[in-house]
Amino acid sequence: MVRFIGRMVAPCAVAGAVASGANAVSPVGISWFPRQGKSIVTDKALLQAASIGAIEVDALVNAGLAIVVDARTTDLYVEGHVPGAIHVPGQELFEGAVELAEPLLIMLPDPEALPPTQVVVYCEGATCSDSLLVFDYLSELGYRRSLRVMLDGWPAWEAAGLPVEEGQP
Amino acid sequence: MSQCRWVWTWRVLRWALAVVFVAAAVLKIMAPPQFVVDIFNYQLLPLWSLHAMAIYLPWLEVICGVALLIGRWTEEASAILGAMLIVYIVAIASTMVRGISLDCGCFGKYDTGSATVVLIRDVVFLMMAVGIVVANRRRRVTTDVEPPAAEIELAVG
Repeated sequence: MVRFIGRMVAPCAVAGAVASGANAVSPVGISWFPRQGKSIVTDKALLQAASIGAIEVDALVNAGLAIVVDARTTDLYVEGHVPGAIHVPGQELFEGAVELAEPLLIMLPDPEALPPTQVVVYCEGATCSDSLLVFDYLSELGYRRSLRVMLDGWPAWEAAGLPVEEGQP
Repeated sequence: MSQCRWVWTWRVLRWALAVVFVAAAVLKIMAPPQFVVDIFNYQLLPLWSLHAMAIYLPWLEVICGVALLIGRWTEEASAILGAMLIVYIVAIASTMVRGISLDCGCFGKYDTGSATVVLIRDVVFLMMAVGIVVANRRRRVTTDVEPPAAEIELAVG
């Protein structure tokens, strides 16, 4: 039995070598580990599936069906944010300041009890990864199925002429 | 069962399982990000491992499939694929227990069958993998059987 298990090492090792080489040269190759500050899980396919527009977010907020999270830096949040948005700076959260998520987590029930309410995260737009960091953090806590990303971020909310709230978190 | 029938049983099972796994693997190799998402949706593995799984598993399926096709490392390849199938079956069953609705991801974006159908399908594949190991050992046993004593005397004489 031990020898049989030992013989299985060879095809596994060959697969590892081939996978490394193929992934390195493939035009659709991905990193072996999520790049710091960004997970491919919240990129591409899943991001598209979880994205939501500013108008939709406004409708959900008015219906009381959204908890909005502003993942930008504090100074940007103070300048203007979605009314009622909870401030959880994504980059600081990623660097280990998990206590910054406490104001949000206090409001959130268990993941199973959350629907149909959606948790909508945003930052400065499609090129900003701060919302993705908060998205990943909440995903790991089990809120994946209720999470949405306002992909075009704060600029889209402003451009739509929607209400703006200013001030401290 | 005669040696000939064991040999052909072994070959048919090998080729069938090889085609299934190589086809499934190619679809996943062509779209790694989607496979990352599919693995993620099972909510079983930590985030840091998803990329590595999505890169490695399809190529393991390819190598084992090719091994089955060319008739090398057949028992080892069948055992590896069987172990993977057991993991897939447990993962799918766990999603059913936890009430998670998702696409299997086994055949990339083309795999949208219900969890029950996928479970039954994987059990069938597992039986095929076990069948390959059994048929391989049976065909080797029948080829190793000593000829009757009379034939030995004729050969010596």
